[in-house]
Amino acid sequence: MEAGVDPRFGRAKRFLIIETEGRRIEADVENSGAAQQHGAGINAADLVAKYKVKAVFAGNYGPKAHASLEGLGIKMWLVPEGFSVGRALDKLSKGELEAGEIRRF
Amino acid sequence: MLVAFASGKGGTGKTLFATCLADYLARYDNDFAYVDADVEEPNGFLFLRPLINRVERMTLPLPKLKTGVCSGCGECQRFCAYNAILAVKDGVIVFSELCHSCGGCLRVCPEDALEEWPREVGTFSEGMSGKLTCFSGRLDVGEARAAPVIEQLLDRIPGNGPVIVDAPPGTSCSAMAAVKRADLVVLVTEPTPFGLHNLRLAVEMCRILNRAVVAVINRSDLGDERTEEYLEGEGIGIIARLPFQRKVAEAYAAGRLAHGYSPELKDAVKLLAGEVHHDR
Repeated sequence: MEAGVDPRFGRAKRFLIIETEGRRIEADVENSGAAQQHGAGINAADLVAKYKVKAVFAGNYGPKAHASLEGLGIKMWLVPEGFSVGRALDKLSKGELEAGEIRRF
Repeated sequence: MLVAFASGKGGTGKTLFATCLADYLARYDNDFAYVDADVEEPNGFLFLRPLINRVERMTLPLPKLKTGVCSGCGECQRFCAYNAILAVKDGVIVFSELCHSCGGCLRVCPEDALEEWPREVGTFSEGMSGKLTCFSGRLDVGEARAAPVIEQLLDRIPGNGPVIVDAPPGTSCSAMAAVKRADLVVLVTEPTPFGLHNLRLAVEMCRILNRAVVAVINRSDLGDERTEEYLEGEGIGIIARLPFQRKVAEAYAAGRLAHGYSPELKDAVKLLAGEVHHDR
């Protein structure tokens, strides 16, 4: 829970799959596609989609990641720099997190 | 016969020599052709100023979903080596900038739900500069992949007479696509450390592609002797040397064919012409 949230979704080192009610960590997955030259965002979106996530948390989402997550119907939350996972979840429960509706890159 | 001018390092003089040679050869022969294969930044026509008689759009096939037939199986995504197609809720997303037009997704789809459509990626133009037939390709701004457009451009050249190809700089996919079919590659280099570093890469590229190679040293009075030593060690013949001449640079900057302004360049061009005729 103290781990920092990665500023980039597609190139994050790993993904923590969490059940937000109860803050239970269901899985800790390595982002296998992080080193790909192209399409890392697509790969990452596909990877988390396999875990049937409803939403993702990261600092920002690249254009391909954004398009992929949007197509997969996964909500994108924007986490400010320096936030830990725990703090991001706190903000979520208070409704203080910004959603990544519009592409920013 | 196809002669390609390549370099490794940019700015060594590929277009200078390719255009002057093409212009020179076409005075005696009317079946020569010049092709500007640097589709990301073509500049040959600035010097040859052909009268354009044909302009066509160039396309690459891209997959598209036929309506209502996708079962969401994800076979296309599993097959694609480039992450270019993603199975989502009601269909697929195609990332055109990653697609390599291999057509594989169409073949593996169990529902036959994909079809190809021609996406415009560049422009082809053809014209005459005196007796010289000129061809050029220009990649659209924003397009990432030059190599398939270069392949298409070369496919469009009628197979009759000798062709001079002005290749892109560098030694990656686009340069390789331009020199792949050459009977002879002329490497234009300059005897500087940077020129030599990239010359080595260009020679390696030609070895991998198994092409015959010769060299031309531009600005031959600058730099040091390591380039000549290297070429000698590699057994690559130096066809011509041109010392640095400001008047050549001035003519080039004014969009003029510089061999009309420099006897030394004209001599170098004649030596190249001899090499081309000798191989014919």
